[in-house]
Amino acid sequence: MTTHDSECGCGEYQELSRRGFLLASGASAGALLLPEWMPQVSYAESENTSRDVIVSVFMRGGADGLTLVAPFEDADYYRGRPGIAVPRPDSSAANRGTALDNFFMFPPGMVGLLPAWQAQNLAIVHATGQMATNSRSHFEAERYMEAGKPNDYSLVSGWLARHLASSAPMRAGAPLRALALGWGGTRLTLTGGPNTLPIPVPESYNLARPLGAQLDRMYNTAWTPARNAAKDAIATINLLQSINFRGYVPSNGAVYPTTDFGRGFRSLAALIKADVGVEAAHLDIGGWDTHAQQGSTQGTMHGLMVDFANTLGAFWADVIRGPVTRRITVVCISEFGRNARENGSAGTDHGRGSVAFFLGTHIRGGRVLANWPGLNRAVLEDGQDLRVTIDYRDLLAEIVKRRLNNPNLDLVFPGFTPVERGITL
Amino acid sequence: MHDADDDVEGVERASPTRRAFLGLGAGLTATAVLARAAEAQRPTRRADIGSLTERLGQRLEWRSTELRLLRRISMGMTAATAGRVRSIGFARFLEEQLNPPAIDDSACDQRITTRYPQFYLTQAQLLAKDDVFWQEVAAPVMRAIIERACFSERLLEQRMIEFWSDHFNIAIAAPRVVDYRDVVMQHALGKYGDMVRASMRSPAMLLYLDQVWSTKYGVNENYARELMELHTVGWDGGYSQQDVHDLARVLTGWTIDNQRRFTYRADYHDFGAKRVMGQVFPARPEAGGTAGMDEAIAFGEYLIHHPATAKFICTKLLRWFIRPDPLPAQVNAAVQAFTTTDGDIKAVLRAILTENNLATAPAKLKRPFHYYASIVRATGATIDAWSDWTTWEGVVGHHWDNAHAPLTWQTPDGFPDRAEYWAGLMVNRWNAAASILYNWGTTGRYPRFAPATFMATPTTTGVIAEIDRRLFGGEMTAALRTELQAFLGTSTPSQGRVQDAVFLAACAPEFQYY
Repeated sequence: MTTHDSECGCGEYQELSRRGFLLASGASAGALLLPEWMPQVSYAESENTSRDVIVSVFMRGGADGLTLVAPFEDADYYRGRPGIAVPRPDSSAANRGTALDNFFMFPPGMVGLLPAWQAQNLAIVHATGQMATNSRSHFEAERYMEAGKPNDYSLVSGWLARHLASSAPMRAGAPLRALALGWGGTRLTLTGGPNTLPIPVPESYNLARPLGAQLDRMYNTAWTPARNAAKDAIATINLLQSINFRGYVPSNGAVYPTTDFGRGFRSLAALIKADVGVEAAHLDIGGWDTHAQQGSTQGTMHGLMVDFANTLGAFWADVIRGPVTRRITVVCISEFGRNARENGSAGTDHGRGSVAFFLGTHIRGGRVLANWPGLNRAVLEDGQDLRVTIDYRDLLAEIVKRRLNNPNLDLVFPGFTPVERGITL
Repeated sequence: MHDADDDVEGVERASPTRRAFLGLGAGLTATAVLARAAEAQRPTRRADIGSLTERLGQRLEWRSTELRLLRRISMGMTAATAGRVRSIGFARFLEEQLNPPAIDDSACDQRITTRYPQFYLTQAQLLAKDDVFWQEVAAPVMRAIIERACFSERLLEQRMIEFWSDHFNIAIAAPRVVDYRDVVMQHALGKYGDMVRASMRSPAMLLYLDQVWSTKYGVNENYARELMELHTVGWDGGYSQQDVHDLARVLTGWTIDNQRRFTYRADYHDFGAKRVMGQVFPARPEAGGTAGMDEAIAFGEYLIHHPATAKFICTKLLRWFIRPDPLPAQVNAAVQAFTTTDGDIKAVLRAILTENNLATAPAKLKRPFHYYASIVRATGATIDAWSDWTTWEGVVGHHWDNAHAPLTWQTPDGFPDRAEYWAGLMVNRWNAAASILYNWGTTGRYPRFAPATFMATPTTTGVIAEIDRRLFGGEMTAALRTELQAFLGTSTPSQGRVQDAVFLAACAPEFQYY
């Protein structure tokens, strides 16, 4: 492991240097997916090492925040969910929750995150989500959330991609700045990012037929995004092949679940420890659309929470608290929450406010940040949903500014003036 | 609806141990593909959901409008189909493809019925196989879909089946097999309204979107929302959360019986007053039989005939066939055809697949499934038997690595039709090409590709002419020709060299588009 660019430990961050920027004369290939108004800059040999590695997790499907972090002191929680509420921490039920403070609790599936919580490396924000849209459509809400701007269909790039595009690489010349792990192509969060690829399984990322030099030349004058993807891929193959993913041994006895999500984080851990310039990653964990037979303490959602919490818990022990030279920040969001009341099939339909999770050594953790609006029908949005009291962009913008050392918030979250909520140290 | 996740996750992925090694000689000269950055008519208006995927580029070498039609309405050209469209012309070829029953597809049908009888299991037979669905049924059904795309002569019908399969997407599960046949395939070129009516009564859909759980005792909004958002009027079709909720109430009683057949249960129906998108359903006395079923039937008709539906479907079809940002005139023409023919899909396609629309259509990136089929079709690779059934890779292999194995999209929006989603997976693409073009291992692996079929004239010139004829319909770029010439050299190329040349052509940027 190299240490030459270990972060400064003083907590002060360099001002992003613009001297290294070269204004491109024409549209650079990587910028074509970005909006017309975005400055088209390239960063030549500049780099900015004083930045956390950012890991973005999207809990796809509308995760039920009222189960993930359940408000046991809100009596309306139990009134609205007679069949699926998590029993109080002070009850004698075998499937009771574990108190986080005097109001919120983890259900049994989330206890894998308790060590990080107790170490004050995990911050939870409740009744958060999208304030500027009330869409309860998965596909509309996901689009707005990942784009970082609601109600604008001209924006075809993601918030994390624009962070990367508006900041110098953490390592000059890194062939791969960001990747999406797990099944699928490029999700909107990372769409348009420079040196960004979906790499479903890094350990098997290789050409079956080794004609990379020919392919690389053939794509010199191809169109983006295929051109960039092809050339970045060829440049990345050797890098990934040099990392011994299969022999990777996590630190601190951490054990990753053998799920897609768990395997993705395990591969990411190896990548981060190899310190090859990867500064951002995105992972999806789907299946949160729990319309029926939700299973708050056993069953579908319980299994998902175990996967989610045990994976992040392992990553926390292995990497965030492990022997790495870089700081790591993990953010976990979902497009919306679910109805305060259960539906007719022991599940919940699409709602509004949910929770967000922030994990890292420089996260002001060990607390649930919430302006709790309550679950009484009179205060529910449309009479049915937890209100959104904190816009998720307040939280992500603070991460981008404080942890990613990128002051270009107007580019990352266009048209939005964030309020700092104090989730970072 | 999420059970399938777990089953698929557990499957072993392909290991990267398969490699063939052939020495490489001369390098290739740089490709010089002319890419016009933007079309003159590139719109400045607001792009819609689905959105601009890239600078819209024209492939200048695509001079033949007939071949443009063939590329867009097929899973990939063959020398034979390219010859046919050139010989009978644009209009006749389109009409021929719009009438699939008249196209002899018996060889493909024979292939599917004999190899994959699982594809034709009835609902009752599938019910009996629920416990072994993943072991015995899922893979053969996926293979049937893959091979039909590779070998069917009913080109346009295959593209429409793919389109509707995404539009009415259901994550793979036993009842989806019936839905795929009786809803998607049955109505792919029929009346749009018939497809919606069939989908509303499809056990697979009602299960997948939790309609079967929704009763007057507690509604489930899942199907009600997606029926409007995804299947008919679209996300901006003008409905509110209250409309979603009341439509869920209207739909109560639409469910399945214990034999997984569609049934209506009046005892589950909410007979109270409801109002959806301005349509009023007054309270009425509870009754038995089919009482109350008329409400959802009536609202289904309202959705089918709503102007927003015509616009939503026509715009989506234009994106599928023409461009990511359909122009207002193109949308209007398609909507006109949709409206005046009561949603006749053939009429809409005639309005969309015009010579002018195709001549000006920017190049579109093939999705991985399409790309795979197009290689098999162009190269004449054969799939004669499957002896590696025991491995997941042998069954759907690189379709899985490419995140595009049939029926595996988990959410109801269907596989994305956006280049920026798929373009990042270039390595997976190239490896899929290799899986077709190199007979990895020694026995039993398919597809099988015979480079000798490109060597009737075994010179560099002859081989390149054959690649041009079969992969590009005679419209290979000069740049790719130069590269292949340099690669193949001046002496008579070896079979291995030819194999690599076909592989490089299939991996070339020119072959990624259609």
